Amino acid sequence: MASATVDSGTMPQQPNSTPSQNSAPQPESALNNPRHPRPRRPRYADIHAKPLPLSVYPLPVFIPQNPLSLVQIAITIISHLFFPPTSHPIIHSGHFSPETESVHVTDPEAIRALWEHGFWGKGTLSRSEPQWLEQGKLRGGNGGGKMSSEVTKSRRQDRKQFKLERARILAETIEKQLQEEGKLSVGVISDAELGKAADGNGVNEDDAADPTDDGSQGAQISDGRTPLLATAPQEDELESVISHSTAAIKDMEYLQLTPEEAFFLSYALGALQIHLPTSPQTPPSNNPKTPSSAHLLRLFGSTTTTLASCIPSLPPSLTTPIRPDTPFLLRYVAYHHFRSLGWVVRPGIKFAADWMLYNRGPVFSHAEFAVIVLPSYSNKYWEGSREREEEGRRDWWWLHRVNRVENSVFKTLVVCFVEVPRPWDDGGGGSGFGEGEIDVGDVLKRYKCREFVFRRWVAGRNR
Amino acid sequence: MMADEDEDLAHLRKPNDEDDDPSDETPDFRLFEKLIGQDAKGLTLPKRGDKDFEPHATSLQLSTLEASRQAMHHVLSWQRTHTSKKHLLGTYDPERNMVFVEKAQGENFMTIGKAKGRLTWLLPEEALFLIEKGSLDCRWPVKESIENEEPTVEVEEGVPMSLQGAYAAFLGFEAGVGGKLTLEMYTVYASLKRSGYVIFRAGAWDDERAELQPPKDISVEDGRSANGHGWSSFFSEIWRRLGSLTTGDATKGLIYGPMIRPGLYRSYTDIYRLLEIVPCHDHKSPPNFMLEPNSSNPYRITFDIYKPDGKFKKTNRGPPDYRICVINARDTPVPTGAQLNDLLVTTPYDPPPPHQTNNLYQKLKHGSRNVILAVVDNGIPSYLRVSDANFSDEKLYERVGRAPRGKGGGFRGRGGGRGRGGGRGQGRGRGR
Repeated sequence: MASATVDSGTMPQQPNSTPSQNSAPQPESALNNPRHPRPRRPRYADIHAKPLPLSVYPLPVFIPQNPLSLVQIAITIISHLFFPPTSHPIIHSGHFSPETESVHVTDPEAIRALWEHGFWGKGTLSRSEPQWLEQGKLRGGNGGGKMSSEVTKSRRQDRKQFKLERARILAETIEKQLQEEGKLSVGVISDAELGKAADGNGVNEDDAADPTDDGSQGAQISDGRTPLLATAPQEDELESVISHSTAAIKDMEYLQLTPEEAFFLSYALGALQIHLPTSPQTPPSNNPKTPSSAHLLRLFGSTTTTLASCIPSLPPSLTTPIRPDTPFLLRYVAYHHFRSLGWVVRPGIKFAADWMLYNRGPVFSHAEFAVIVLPSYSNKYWEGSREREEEGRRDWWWLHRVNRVENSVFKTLVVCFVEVPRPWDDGGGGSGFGEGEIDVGDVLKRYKCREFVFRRWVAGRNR
Repeated sequence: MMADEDEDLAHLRKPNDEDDDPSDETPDFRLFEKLIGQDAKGLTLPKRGDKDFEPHATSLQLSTLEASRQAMHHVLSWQRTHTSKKHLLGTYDPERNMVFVEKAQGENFMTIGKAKGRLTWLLPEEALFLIEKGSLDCRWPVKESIENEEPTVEVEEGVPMSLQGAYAAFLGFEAGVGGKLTLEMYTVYASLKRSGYVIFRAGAWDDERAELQPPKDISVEDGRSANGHGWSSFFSEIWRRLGSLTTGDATKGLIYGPMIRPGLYRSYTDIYRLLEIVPCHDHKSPPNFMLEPNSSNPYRITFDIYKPDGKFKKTNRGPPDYRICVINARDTPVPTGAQLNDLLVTTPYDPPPPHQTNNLYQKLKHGSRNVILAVVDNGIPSYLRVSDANFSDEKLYERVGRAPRGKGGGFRGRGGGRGRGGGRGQGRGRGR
């Protein structure tokens, strides 16, 4: 993504990165837009220095040339001995929302912390990074900056403008040719037609050309031009209210975590305490119940989570034993696997995949890999079962569809097979645990991940 | 001016070079026309021109279109000739379902056929390809010549084999386990052959399945030791162990969570190491089959492919550049994990080349073993490269310290050109 996206300010001027417009007339006006100095971008390396919402306390570096560094190290060790700092300075809290099957974090500080330290969740009113309040303030006129989503919007607008312009010039060339040939009878090609020409391929492009649709626009800088969207008709009610009353805006946005993210934060990291509403009628704040990891697993396992590969499966209920191939578990195993390797894993629904893998995080780089999770029933237990039969039913059109989508957004398709173990849940009791208890670590160790990369191979390009 | 089957994709940018197949496009015959009659040496393929999407009634457009059409007719009407010297005569052997040629000559035989005594034998796909190409005049056998073990000179008396006859005779009539040439296999064979590749059957197609290919010489590949621990990191490692105060017991954390007990951790690497509990495939362990041998398993290596290279020798082929598995898209679904495993363990261990070891993305995409699946749907092959990716061998958290600052560098495999293209501009300029 390197240069091209970072220099988004130059994009409207050079919409084609390949040298392909040798004869197509170029709209001069669009090419000569004045360049504004770009505003400084946030120091992402500092903001997102922590890859996880936990604290670590490294020892000072030992420098052989400087004996004093040894003293420093000794002091640190001793002070840590007497006053051990904790890796969990804060445990954030979230509420499970049964209606949306997600976990909501409402405390603004927790929201910031979870976003900044590992890119967890999504702002409910934003595309990914919770920035609705900031955006509202800016709209209200407090400050001249722009939020990342606005940058994208204005860039799209610019692009549309550019295409209109190009279509107009093309039409003019044709008109001129017609005049030269003496064929021209009636005036010009209508504006509506131009609009159509410019729009024709805009639909897909917005999504296809926007691999960062996940918040990485934060890193993309505006060129400072007045956004054309000032006149755009898509302002919704809420936003217009905000722009009128700039005084005190209440932050209506909260962070929403997928069950997998919440389970990882809670079970693996211990950085999140999840509260359950006791019944759908009582609000979560009245009588929060904090479930154990095993209960969470049962709860999330009973959600309607599905895999991107559309494998039909019945969502289990809270009372029946968890099936070993519950979509939540398969997704979680893959999620845990990639998170534990250091990837920033985010939902991939926009890319027809289960998970997207970011290196360090969406503000640093585009996702390179799109992960599709598939169960693999090669365990002897599944011999002759319906599961194994259905395992081999996915057709090539499906795979090519997915692969083409990933290719068009510059992702590499990774198929992650998760080996499904024999059923392990007997409802508790059998393994020396209490009713409904599960040894979660033991369960995770029964699964096995294996990744395959699928790429198109073109005979003419590999000679 | 040319219609383009990829037109609907034109608004998407070219994802990467490998994805763009020049042979997918209709050639611009106006440019080919100029080549006719030229010396064959120093020929280069012409670049394509611009593309118009709609008729706009200018004479210019019409005349260009007409010129293009004329050029195509001209190119196609070019007279191809055969000299009597190069005339190749072969005889069909119904018993072996093969063709033998007595006087094997010409450059075709550099990459085709197997000499046995004074005869050169052609496999069904080789014979069919040569017949289709017009290079081989194949005759049905004359009765007498079969009775005498050694074929006699009366080859010319045989009835010439038609192309239809050749297809009927050569497809699906071989003996042996899975030893049949299917139409899909021939489609792939012929299309790769036409692209210039050298292509041979992998093995004899007689075994129930191929041999396991254990990895060799793995130690070279382990890049972690090469990361260069300086003095300071060596000491800090010691200090880390000395000063690390792990609290709570890990087992309890594993069972009830959290896995990371609150306590003192010296680095995120320590935390990530504790988190790594989901088992994954070990690419360096000896490979194993997961399924029972089954002769009807479609996932087997069909062809070995060599890149076109002047130095190729039929007798001393060496390891192929690619291995290909031909699949009928309508009969055979996407492979399961076990099927993919069983296919890949019959390919050699092929880790990323040393110059790729610093590029994480390239390394992951290359994988430790790979195979090409040719998925054929009614004569149209689609090729997919499948590789065993070693995500678990690449601890990203260990690399983070070395990661470039900010956006725009480092592991990007594809470099620049990631910008958004204006939709139409891309489609128009197909010339590269």
